[in-house]
Amino acid sequence: MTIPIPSNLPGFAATQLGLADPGRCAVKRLTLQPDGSITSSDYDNGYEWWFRLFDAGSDFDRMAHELRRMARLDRVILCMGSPKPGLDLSTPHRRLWARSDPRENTMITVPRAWIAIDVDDAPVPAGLGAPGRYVEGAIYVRDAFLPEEFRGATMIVSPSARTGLRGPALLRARLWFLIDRPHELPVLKRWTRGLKAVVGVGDSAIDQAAQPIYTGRARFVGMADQIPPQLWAVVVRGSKDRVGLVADRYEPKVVEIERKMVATLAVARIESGIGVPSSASGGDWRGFLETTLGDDLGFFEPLTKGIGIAARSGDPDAEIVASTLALLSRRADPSRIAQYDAAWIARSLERFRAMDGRTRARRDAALSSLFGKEA
Amino acid sequence: MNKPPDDDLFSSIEKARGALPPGEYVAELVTALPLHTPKTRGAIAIVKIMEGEYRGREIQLRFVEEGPSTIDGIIARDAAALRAWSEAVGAEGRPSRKDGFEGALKLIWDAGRNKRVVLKIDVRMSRAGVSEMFLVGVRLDDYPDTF
Repeated sequence: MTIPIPSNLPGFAATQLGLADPGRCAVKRLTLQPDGSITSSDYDNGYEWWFRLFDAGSDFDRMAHELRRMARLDRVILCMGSPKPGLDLSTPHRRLWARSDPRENTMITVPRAWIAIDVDDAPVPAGLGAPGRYVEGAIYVRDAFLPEEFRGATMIVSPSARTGLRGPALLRARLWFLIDRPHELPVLKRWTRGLKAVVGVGDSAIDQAAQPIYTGRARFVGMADQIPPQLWAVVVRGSKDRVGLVADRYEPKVVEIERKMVATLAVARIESGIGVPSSASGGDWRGFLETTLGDDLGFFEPLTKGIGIAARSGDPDAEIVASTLALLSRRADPSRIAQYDAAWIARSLERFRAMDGRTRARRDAALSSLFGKEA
Repeated sequence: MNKPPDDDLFSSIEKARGALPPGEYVAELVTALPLHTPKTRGAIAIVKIMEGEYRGREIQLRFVEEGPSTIDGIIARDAAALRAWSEAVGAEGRPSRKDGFEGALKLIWDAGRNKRVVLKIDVRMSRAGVSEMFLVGVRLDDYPDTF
């Protein structure tokens, strides 16, 4: 029997963003190579986006319908946050939510009563990783990997770019759940971070105000999309429509991870000096990546933080790229190695330096404005 | 003035530490002190809340003027906040670079006397788990009609 949903609880509410930059898209491109391997391009870096409030309510069918619709749109994403109050939605904006000056942010953290759990190569019984059976694989993951409160819960299952392409016994998918009360995004992020560390599924990055949840189907070059359109979002009915999320379930583990991260980051920053070439000290970003890459935090967060430190280290780009690739080759699976390739690392370095340049200019302008011309 | 929000985000623990919830406060600059840490330099504004639930509470707002390049964004934010505060109270002239942020606060103190200044304060949790208050907006409020 399905437990009725109280009507006053928020449902699948989010912000829908559409890329305003012409010629860019928010989907991956998967290309079949002559040797049978599949290469993947990363998402384009969108600069400005149109913002639109999104609310599918507590209706799973409606949300699944919206997800199937968005799967056809290659310039649209969802974000869990909300546009900053007063933001002019008639014009595009950058996705900003963690600026040191919060007035610059365009999106804010708000409580949400839903959660999306990314499943990235979870082992499933043979056959359940196949394109036509991935929904069964998702049910297996829900009941075998997720905490007890998720067992038998209604969910929506949607595929990622490589769903069905990782072999018959590995699942990639996204699981969407309604939860029994709204939680602030940092709370959900901590929960997902703990889930990832303890059971190996989930991506805490998406539990942030303006972090993209990519919803468009990938572009497949030289190959067909293995997932038929009717499986682009599937409602799996369960015995309850809301999950009573135990938000602090993984708190001790998360505290442990954060302590380690803060300590490692502090050492890396101290050793790298500030704007001083770090090659003499030798530790810094290398030490940070060595300690964190592929550990509890996975790959994306350590890579971006480590490369951020490296960008300021004064070390040559070629050395940073080579060291990072060498570490990745030892710790990551082939698809991650392909995803975080030399070009990705070089682009990240460039992006961090450009960001630093803009911040420096903003600092100079603010000081000049306060002190006058002499600043 | 609206009562500052007091929700789940702001636990009783934070209150005990002396931090305020994010919101707008009628406040008076009491004094300015130099800020020196091993890597940063700037000024500390001691601000007294003049109305509302937190009336009488004194808080510290830190404004960082110099530091490593990793905090350029914070310096930009703090310089812009001081500029906004100066403009709101109609401070005359500008501080010299030598007088720095402490000089800016002294000009603000001079100009802000007997004015009803509303500070918009935000609160952020640092990595170390400490609540940090910072100034995100300033406006001059008219005195109530009954004054």
